[in-house]
Amino acid sequence: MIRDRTSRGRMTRRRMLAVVAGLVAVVVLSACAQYPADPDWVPRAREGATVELVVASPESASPASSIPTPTGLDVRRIQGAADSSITAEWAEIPGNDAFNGVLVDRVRSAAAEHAQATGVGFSPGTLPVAGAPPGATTLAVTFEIVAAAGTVLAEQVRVTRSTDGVVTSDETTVYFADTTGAFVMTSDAFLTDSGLRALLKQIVESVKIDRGAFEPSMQQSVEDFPVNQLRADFSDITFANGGSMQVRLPAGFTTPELDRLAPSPGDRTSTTVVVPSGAAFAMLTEHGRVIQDALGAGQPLSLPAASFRGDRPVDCALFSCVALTFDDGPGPYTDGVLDALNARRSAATFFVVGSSAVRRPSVVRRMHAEGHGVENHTWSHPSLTSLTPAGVVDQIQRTSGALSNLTGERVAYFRPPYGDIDAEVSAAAVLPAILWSVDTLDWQKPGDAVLLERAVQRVSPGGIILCHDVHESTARMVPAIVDGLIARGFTLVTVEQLLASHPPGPGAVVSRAG
Amino acid sequence: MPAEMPSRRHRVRRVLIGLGIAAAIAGLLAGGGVILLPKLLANYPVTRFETTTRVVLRSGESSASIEAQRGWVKLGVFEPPDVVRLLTPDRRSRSEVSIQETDRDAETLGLGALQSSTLADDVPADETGAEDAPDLDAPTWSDESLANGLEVTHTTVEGARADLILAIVSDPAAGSGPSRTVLVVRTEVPPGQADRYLTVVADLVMSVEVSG
Repeated sequence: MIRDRTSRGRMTRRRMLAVVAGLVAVVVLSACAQYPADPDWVPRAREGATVELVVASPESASPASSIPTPTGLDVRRIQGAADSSITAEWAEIPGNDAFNGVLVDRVRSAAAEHAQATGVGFSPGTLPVAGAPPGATTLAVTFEIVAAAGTVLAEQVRVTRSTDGVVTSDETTVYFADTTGAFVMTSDAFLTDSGLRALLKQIVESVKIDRGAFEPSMQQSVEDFPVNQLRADFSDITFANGGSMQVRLPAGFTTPELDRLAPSPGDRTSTTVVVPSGAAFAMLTEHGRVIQDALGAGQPLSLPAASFRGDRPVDCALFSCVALTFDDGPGPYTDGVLDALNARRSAATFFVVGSSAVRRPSVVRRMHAEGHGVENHTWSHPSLTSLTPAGVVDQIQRTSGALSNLTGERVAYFRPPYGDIDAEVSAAAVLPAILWSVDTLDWQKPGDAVLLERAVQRVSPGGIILCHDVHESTARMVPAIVDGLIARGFTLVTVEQLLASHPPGPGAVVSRAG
Repeated sequence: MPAEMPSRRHRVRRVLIGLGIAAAIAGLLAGGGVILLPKLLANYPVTRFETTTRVVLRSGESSASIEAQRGWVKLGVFEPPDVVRLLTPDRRSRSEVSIQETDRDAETLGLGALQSSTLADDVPADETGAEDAPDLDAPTWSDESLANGLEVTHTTVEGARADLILAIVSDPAAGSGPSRTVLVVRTEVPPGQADRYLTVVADLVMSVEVSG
């Protein structure tokens, strides 16, 4: 009996334990099975940014990658003489005076500000520019072509001032020009007032999304931001192929609302905002839409036919001008010399012998048509000091008459053969006499290297170089000479352009400008 | 009779041994229960919301509510009224929302919440490099004024086991004086998924209503 009771007790306890364990298991399992995971549920997607934020390296100056300078643009450069520490380079549209004038004025004003700040006035110098002394302030104007399509060119001009190699100011302006001269504008005129505010809103909201804000919509009213400030902030604009608008934000751009958010990883010192084409269109002024349309279409750049250097005014107080002159032609090599000059957008002056000119009238006409100076080198190349005044007059007037007949223009200067001139010759000739500051002595056939060194290295701004286009060795070296002079920062001009600021009077004898 | 004596002693010994074992098991169960039961109860799924539902939290005379959307699961048995724990429908993200009366600023409050987080020992710096360890001492905070007038201070801390999104929400329009009502929303999401689940926290935060 006792054994039976004990056995029944054990069985009861076991049953109870089993029941409790079963209940626990059921509760636990049912809890898990009751609310299974929903495999189809996903978190709500975050709001998409309406504009794309592209973070560039701080060194990058351009909202878009710059493009190679299109062929046909006229790259100009200036550099100050030793103490002025100025270098500037920009690209002009040949013949587009409105656009080119804007760029030159920008360079002039930067140089004037630099002169005022440093107390050193600008005067043209040559390359390479001497290293700035310790503590010196330098000015650099550089350019990049950021877009070019159809008849629209977008050129970014960057003005950087540095002291001891540390940048103290850095201003960038993107100019947009119609290559036919229809307009020139800067990109701060692209956006309407409402467009500026819409852009601000989209930028703020995109940055908020980028920084993980809970509330992506902009909370501060866009009306709180002065339009002029926005126009300044959103002035670095260009358009990509397809019409999307690229706006480079100024370094440190922020708003009070963005200031309160933790920055996202990555350098935010140079951020470009890319606005899709359609959204950008709604923000643009009429001019802005013209630019967007042209650049968005991506047609090849259309440039007007390049004018000749000698046909355009050149400010030799700004540019390092030099006059390359050729005597005794025209000859059999003169056409080759003209080809070399034109390929390099460079002007020269030809002191032609009258009797040779009438034998090669087409070459003389070509010289004139291509903007070069065509001046008087007597009829038969005598030493004028050995002639009577009447003989001098005959040599000069006969030649000037023939040249005027060929070119349709009055001859302005003469060069006495061998440089032989005295007061009587000057008085008889009446025309100002042009001598030279560098005689290459090319007629002596000194060898290519020596000729190149004399023509390129011995000249300074305002100089006049004497060569002869009747020698094959000279004609052959003209490309190298012109390239060498350009590489030293010179602009090759005619004698008339060189002396334009101080034209010599009758009977004057000039061997260099200034 | 003498033959029964050993048998009786034997039974007594067996009973004593049995009692000893039972006591040991009971002790173990009790000890384990004390440790495990609260956690078990806190994480026990009690409700799945079939519609979007406003969940109320109370602390003293203050109250606030948040909106749990359809499919979310409420966790916890015998939970105090100032805390609510929620599980997303995919069961991968868990939020703990608590209401507090405090005069501390949001960042101080948040720093305390972070440092009491289990993330503090989440990533051993000597194994992964110090830069990979969650920076719980100097998090980068974001402050936002939401469209509904709420102020929120939040940060995200990445960990090896989970990422933590911490938000401190208050309503400047509700009440005045040095002490104010705040909601601390602490959300753990799978590692590397903080961006993906940010909207989950944002929706919770933006649904907050503080009534005093």
